[in-house]
Amino acid sequence: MMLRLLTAILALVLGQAALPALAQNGPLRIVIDEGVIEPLPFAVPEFVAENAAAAEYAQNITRVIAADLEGTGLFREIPREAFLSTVTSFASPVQYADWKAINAQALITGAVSVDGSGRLSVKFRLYDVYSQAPLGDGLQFGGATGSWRRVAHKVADQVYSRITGEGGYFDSRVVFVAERGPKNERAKQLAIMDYDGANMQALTDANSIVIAPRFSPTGDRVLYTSYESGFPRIYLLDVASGQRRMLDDQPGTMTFAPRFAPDGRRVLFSLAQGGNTDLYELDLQSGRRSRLTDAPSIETAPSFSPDGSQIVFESDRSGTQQLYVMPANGGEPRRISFGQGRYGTPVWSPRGDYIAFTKQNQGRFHIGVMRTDGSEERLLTASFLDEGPTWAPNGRVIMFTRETAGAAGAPGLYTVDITGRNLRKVPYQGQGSDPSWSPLQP
Amino acid sequence: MNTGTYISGGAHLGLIAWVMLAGLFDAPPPKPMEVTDVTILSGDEFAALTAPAAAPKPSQEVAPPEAPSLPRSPRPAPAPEARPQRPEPPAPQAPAEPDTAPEALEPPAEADVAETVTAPEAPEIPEAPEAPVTDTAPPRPSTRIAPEPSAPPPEDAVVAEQPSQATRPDPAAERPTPEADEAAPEEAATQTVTEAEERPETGLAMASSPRPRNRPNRPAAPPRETPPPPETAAAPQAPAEPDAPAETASEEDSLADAVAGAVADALSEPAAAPEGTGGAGRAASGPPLTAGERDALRVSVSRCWNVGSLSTEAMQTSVVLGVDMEETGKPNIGSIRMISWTGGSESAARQTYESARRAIVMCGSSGFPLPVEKYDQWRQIEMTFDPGKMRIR
Repeated sequence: MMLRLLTAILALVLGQAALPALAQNGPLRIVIDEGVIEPLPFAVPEFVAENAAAAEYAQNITRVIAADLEGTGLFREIPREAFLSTVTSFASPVQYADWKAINAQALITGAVSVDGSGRLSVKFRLYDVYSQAPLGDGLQFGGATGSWRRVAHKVADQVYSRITGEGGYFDSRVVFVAERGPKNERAKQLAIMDYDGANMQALTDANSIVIAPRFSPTGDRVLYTSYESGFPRIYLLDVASGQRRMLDDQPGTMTFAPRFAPDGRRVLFSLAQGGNTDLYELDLQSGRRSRLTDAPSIETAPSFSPDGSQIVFESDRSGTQQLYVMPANGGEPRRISFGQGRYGTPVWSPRGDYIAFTKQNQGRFHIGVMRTDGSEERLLTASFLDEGPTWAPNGRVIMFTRETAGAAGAPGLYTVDITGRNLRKVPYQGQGSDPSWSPLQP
Repeated sequence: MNTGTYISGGAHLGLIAWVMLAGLFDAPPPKPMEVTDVTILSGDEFAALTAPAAAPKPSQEVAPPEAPSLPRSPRPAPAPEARPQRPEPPAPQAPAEPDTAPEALEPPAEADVAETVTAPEAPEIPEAPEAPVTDTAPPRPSTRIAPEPSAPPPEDAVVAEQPSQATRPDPAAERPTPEADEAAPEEAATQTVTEAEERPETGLAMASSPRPRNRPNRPAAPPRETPPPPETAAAPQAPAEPDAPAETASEEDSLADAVAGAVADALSEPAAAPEGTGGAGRAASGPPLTAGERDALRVSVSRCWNVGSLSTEAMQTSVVLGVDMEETGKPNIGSIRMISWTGGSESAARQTYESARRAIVMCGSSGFPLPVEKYDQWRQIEMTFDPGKMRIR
């Protein structure tokens, strides 16, 4: 008995000392739910000019790509002075260690050539430095030398898309109202430019007031409102040819605030008649007009959802200007804005997840976004006058008009990320308002 | 009145007499006179003595030592055995190599460079030009430390007192079966359940009061190859049947055997623990990671996880990564893999995975702060990256 007891005690004591305190089965598991939000550092050595005629293009294309990416606020270019390696050949292997040493997480290499017929060819590769592997396949773009900016934008779109997983928006254009002159005598005309302010071209003369241009879903046509006849009328402009025609010329009415349907064959607009303003839909082929709202209040600024099933618009039917959503074929509108102040100019995101709007509250103007049911309202800007949002093709960036206060105040175009970060002025030298962002160009 | 006058007068007189007799105002005794020998010099003699003290003039007569002429050719690699054999340096000759030296300074082709740095053969080494420029003292004669000089050891050999032959595996010999961990089929389930999914949704309060775990059954003793015989135990298997000692043994012997067996059995457990099975293959051993150690790892990864370029869909996608760790705390980059994802498309999961992978690679390059003594606890890590909390709603 004594033997057993002693043995048990001794084995228990030694066994407890030797056993692990607590066994753990399987791997260690942890949850990471916090991180940092910083621009991703990237390096883009100057593209290799494969012949003498391509030298200038190589330099310019590289600069445009870097500016595109850095302008998003999601990327940060590493200055060339920090490079440890040079890329002298497009086919040479990448020295990953050199790029990792300067904390480049993405590397873009490319080459440019111009053949005898003046055709530009640009090829590029994107590398994930820390994975030490290419990020996607190498691509080559070609075009006339005069379209070198578009080629650069397409390369930047590819890089943006491969890293973020979202579509790019660099190879796109903006139609807007270019303005000049003093505030009380301002000349306005339609103009079109690249998204970054380059290649600006006038679409109309400045003899009459024009407002609210809107791109078609294919980017080849523009709807706008002109006071050419003394009353606001809707016009349809073909961008390539410059030809235009007036839509729905009904005597005694005023038409304004047009916007294309997603199919490009119908147009939503507001029609004021007899002191009342309601929403109408016009079939561009047949010219048939149908009424969508019938209320004594003012309904205007309609915008289709991307799938064409719903319409968001502004109305003062509740006594103050608010946002409403209704079925595309008409029906009972549902109010979605309930905050303080007045809401207007709603625009449905091309991704369908948000609605951008202008809000006026306590003497300040804001650009904001909310879910399509009105939830998660978030104001992105605040200033003396912000208005007229328009979505980038990828639904992540909003462009809008900001006008400064005072007699010398002037309108300008700005962009902001839907997170509220990266507010930037579009590098367009003149004054501008009422922007409309085109879809990505083919 | 007179008495006072008398006393005062007497006292004064006494004082005056004491001063005069004691020699208070006497001059101190004269010091012993110092006597110095003086030599009388004439003016010429004095001039002759002071002339060397004038300012020294630069001596132009003293020629500086000539700088030894340097051989401009690249110095050949000295042969160690050549120097002792040189009886006396030959007279410096006008070397032919300096003429070729400037060519070596020119940017040559790589092949030329290779030729210039190649040591010439020993008989052609021009030793003489080196002698004047040698700053180091000639080697002192060394004491004899070995009766016979031995050949220099191979470069890879380790210097030891007793020479030994390198052991190499005999291809003909039968290879012993290496000691291997106990293998067990990988744990599998019908669905992946991550820690994140196991977290209770009702806050931090405990939903139940689990009973402490029973001590796991000791695994069956695996067949071991020549276990080291414990010095304190005669037979390790003896405690397996502590209740059945040999009836013929005395009680004292049985007690000693049982105690020795218990000690050996207890001591043998730590060695077997890392190889034990815990349901999911290899069971971790050692104390578990503390909450602070887990947080340190979590923070280390978090500060490198950049979600700034993630798409909105990727920001709603949670991915689970598996990574094998090295004992140094660094991740094995090649082992990083996506185990599963939830909340988004595969494309979005790929975006989140790439950002998480970059975080592990970047911040793991210098090693994560993990206690090495608990390596078995973090030999494999599954990290769930959930960007949902950072998404702007």
